Amino acid sequence: MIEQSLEGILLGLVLLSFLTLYRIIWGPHAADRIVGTNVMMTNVILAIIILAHLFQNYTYLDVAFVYVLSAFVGTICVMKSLGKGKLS
Amino acid sequence: MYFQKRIDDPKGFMLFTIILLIFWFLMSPSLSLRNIAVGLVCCLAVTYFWSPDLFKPGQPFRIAPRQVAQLAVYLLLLAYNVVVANVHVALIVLSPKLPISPGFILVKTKLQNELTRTLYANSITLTPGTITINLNSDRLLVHALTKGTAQGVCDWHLENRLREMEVSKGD
Amino acid sequence: MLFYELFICLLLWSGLFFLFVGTLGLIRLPDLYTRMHATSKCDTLGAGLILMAMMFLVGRNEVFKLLMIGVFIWSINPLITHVIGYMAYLRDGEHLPETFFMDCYDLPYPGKEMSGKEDVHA
Repeated sequence: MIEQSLEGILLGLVLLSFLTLYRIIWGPHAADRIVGTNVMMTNVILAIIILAHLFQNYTYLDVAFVYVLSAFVGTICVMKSLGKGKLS
Repeated sequence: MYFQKRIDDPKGFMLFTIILLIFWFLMSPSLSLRNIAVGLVCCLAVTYFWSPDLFKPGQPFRIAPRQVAQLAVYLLLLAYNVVVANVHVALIVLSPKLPISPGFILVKTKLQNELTRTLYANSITLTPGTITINLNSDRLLVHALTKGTAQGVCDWHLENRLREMEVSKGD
Repeated sequence: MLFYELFICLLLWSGLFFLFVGTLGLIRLPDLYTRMHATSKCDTLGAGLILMAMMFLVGRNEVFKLLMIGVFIWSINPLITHVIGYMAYLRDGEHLPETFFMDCYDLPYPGKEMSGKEDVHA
């Protein structure tokens, strides 16, 4: 039962990422697109973790961990360059 | 020279290095000698490089055991409040008429320490109907989803708990 | 054993439900700040629930990594919301026309009504 529901959760995460594309493509301002990208980031991290369990290959957890940190730094950089005009 | 930094607070320096080392050993795959040496050098370098930002002259970096217990109780209460906040947002989003009346509100905090102020701002973001936009010394700019939640953020009972945790540093 | 499996499935599907509510709020709500209400809260709890269910499933050596990912998501998500909100407040600040502005800095709740964004300096 757990295997089927894990596959269902994976499918649901992919569908939610496609729903988020609406706000990323047609968002009125830059900040809306950043919020949409952030939601997609959370979905991708959870998908990586579930795939790591389905493939029984737990090296992927390190990938997820580095992805959290790099996405955070990327968002901070984009917002800083939008607000101040430079990165420093 | 730009890489020479003064160390005002040696005990806080040790404490912060130990916290970073615990994090390193949780992440590292094995406990070989080379691993331990690399971790020790990296943690000392990171703490030394950031020491002007971490250790301010007036506020020594200490954690008492009683504060850890108070922090654990606070985090449990916060987890309960997060579930309440999610049900609140879900009821608003799933209802067909969208009953919202948003607004900005400027609030004063009683907290003195920078770390507890940051924790308070982060926990306002996770609790029902409010997100923090800005925190500047003791002025908090909060965006509220409805008028009722705007009233709730002015006298919030978890702030008193954080204030107790700040005061009980002495023993 | 059946209760264990049912409990894990409940955690997983409720996590997916809260993520769905966050995405629906991102699409439905009218302006940037209200959208951030939906995404910050619901994404945080949904990710926490799914991570908690995965913590029961993976082996004992990987629990710490999942715990660290959970702690990072729970502390980073409010921070990112804060940064995005402050930048939007400084730059263009699109908000609904019926938004109220209130200054409770030295008064109890009802405070002073402010006319616009320029009066509330944080």
